[in-house]
Amino acid sequence: MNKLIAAIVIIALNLGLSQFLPWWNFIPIVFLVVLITKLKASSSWVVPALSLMLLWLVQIFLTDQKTGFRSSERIAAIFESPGVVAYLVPVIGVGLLAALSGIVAYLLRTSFQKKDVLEKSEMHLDDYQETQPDLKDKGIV
Amino acid sequence: MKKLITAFLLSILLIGLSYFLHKGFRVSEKVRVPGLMRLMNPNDGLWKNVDISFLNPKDEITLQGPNNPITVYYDDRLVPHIFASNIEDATFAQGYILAQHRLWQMDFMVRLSAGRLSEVLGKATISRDLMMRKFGLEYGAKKAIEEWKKFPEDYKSISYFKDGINAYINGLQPEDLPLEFKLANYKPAEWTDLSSALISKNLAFTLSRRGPDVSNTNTLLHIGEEEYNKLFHMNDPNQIPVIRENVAIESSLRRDKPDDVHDLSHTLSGYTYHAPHPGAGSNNWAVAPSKTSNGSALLANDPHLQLTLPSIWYEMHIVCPGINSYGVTVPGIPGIIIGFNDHIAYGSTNVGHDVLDYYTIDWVDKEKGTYKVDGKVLEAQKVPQKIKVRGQEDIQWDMMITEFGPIVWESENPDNKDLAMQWLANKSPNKPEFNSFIKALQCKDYDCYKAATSNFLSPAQNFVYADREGNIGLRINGHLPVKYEGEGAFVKKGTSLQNKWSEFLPRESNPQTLNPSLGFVSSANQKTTDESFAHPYIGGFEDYRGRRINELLEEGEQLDYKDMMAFQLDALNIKAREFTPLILSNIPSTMIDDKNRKIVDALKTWDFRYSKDSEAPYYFEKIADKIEDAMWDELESEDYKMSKPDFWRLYQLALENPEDAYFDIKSTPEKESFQSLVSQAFAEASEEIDLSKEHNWGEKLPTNVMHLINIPAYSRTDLPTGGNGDVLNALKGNFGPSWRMVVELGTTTKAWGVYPGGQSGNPLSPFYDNMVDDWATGNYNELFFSADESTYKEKCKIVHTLIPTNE
Repeated sequence: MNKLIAAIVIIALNLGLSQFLPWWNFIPIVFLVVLITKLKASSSWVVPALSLMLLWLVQIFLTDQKTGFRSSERIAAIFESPGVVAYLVPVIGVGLLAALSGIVAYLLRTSFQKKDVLEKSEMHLDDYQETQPDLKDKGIV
Repeated sequence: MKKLITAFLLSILLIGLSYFLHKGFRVSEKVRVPGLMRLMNPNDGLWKNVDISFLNPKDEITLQGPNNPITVYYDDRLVPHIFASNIEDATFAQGYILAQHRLWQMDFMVRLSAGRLSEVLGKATISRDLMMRKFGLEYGAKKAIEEWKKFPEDYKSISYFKDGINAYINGLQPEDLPLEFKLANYKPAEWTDLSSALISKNLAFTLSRRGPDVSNTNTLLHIGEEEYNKLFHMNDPNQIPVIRENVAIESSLRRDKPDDVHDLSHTLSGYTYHAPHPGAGSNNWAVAPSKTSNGSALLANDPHLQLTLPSIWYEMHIVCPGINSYGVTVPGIPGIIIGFNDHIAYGSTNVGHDVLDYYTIDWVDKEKGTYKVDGKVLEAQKVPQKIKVRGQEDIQWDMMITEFGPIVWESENPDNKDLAMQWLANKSPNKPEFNSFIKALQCKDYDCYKAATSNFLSPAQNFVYADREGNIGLRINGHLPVKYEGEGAFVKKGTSLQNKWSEFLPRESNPQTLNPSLGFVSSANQKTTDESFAHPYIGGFEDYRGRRINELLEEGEQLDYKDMMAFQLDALNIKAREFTPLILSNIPSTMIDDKNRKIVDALKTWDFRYSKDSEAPYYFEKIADKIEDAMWDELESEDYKMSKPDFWRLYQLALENPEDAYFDIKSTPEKESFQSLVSQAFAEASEEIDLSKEHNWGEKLPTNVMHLINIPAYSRTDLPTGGNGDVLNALKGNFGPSWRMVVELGTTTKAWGVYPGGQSGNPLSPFYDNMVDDWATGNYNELFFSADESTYKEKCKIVHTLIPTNE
């Protein structure tokens, strides 16, 4: 649930703030969201990266589709590349930077927390279930 | 602690990566990767430049400036049809629309003209900037504006235009910036009066900077006066002048040659002559009703300029009370430069008179601050220049301006003197010349058109005219200096003010013709008049196109608009028609074997047309070039540059005296003749050409329409068009017919036109290059022209309304 909320918040903030701020506004957005939502290690980079990659992919696709997919070819042509490059560069780029921002936020957050508190705070039911498949299989949890 | 250190290191990586993906980085001296994320992100990158205007066709734009709402209907080629309540609003809308579609091009041309490209493009453009600064375009433009301001009523029109452009710039959001601004990461400058003046000066730079004075001087000193006069001092006697029946009022102004005016003390080396491109030129003509099939006057015009994307021209239609005018303008200049209205049609070609002379300066002091003129010591005006260069230190120097003009060449050789340049384009106008093309929109007859364009200063143009009443005319329009015979051919001494020209023919004395008995008028950059004209001039004049159009128009009867189109696309080369028989008759039969017979057969059966599918033009050009190169070996020197005679002189010598000494190749012990040169050229050509392959002209000399900063992806290259600089369809590499227009002035005006580009300057727009293929294949668009707004309401899907904020 936490992951879904984080993804929605990141997407909403990026969509809204992009009207006023430069393209890199998602970096502080991801940083703050990961800092606040207490995602666990893997989720702190996977969630922002995937949500933003998906958002940008959809945005680009919709724009490109309106021009019969001519625009991606014209944009990529500057770099003498096929049209798919106009998708790959921004989508991979946003994923990479979002992931980095998320990891940094996670590391900073966890550096200042005591281990037991950390474990407690991160031990949400979903995570617990994922890490305890044998217990789940046995119907214990 | 370990986590903190990792976080710190990853932060550095994140910031660094973001920085490089925003700013870009240099891979090598020549290759720079731009900020990929800045460019490719969907929020404010290039994806925001995707033109989806046709999906949001109805747009109301509220802005400050116009007095009343202005409606702009865009047709299916994105040509704007502006409906305004008055000319002021129409001019405002013209500025707004030009900025909307061509802002980067306009900003680029201003920077180019002012020598300020390096400010945004870095060191790659420093030499270009230096050249433009030395030519003093900005200096001349500033002086022009000071004069324009003395005519406040006329000056208003340029203010409306400027306001329109700035209204668009001020409303721009960063994500809406044109693509090239994003690529090079800079923003457009505010549009000022100087901006329009600079664009106009750039046209003068393109068309009137011819001045081979230095190489002529070197040639004269190298071969002597007698030989020089034999090779150079005349125009091709076969040329048919532009004005064949002159109705101008003769002026009594004359200029005597001052004593000891030329500086022939020594040859000049190291000077770089920035010659105009040989492909720059134009054709225009008008045909009287007596020679047309339906009794309507016809007018045709095709200016041969650099073929670029975005195109040099922008098509528009302006309707307001008293005005219904259509045509093209250069983005940055208000009005319609080449076009028509309900009553008249007009166009222009370049006159080509020499209006740029060089003077040697006698500096008095070593610091080059004072110089001697007429026995007096004068101080040169010092204008500090600073070229800002992106990413490196500014370049500063002082531009020195003498009584003759700016110093354009500072010699490194102490034996050589510095050169000052007197150039008409840098002269201050003493009349409001800038709104000629706004006034012309409103004209209904020749007198009005003459009056509207009478203040046009430079570059002088052959203004062609036709109207619904059946009148046709052609007028040399622009300042023509009063000169002595041959003035401007050689470098002059800057020691006396008498050595520079300072008077101009009154406009009514410029050569002109109205309704000549021939039934047509025409110009193709050939000489203006025959020898009977009382005022001497020299210049760079075209030898073949003018003859061809005269030939076609003289023969033509019952002409219609389709004939005009066919003439514009005509590819017959008179040079080839005259010279090919000479080549063929001088190839010894013993040289013709099975291998090279293909060349001879192609030349023998050739119709002398530079068609894209023909091989003969390639063979002819190859052989003729080799003959020409071998011919003028006497005019080669390692120490200095010399001028070469025009091709017609070679042809004439070959006819008159095939044993002439100039046919001899100095480096061989034998005495060569014209026949030897032909044999040698044919042998070399046979050797070099792979005759097992096809050599179609369209593939050998394809046309390239390059993006203004040569972005290959946004250029159209290798267009198989045919044509050649000497034929009416004057295509020469990346120069050629930049706008083809034919107008029929019947009971209703009908017109057709095309240019190699598209209305939008946005490379991501479908309207960026949508006319290139039609242009290359010789198709025309019917120009959709009516003063009835309801026609456009029905036909046009894209409608923009500019609403004043106070509405």
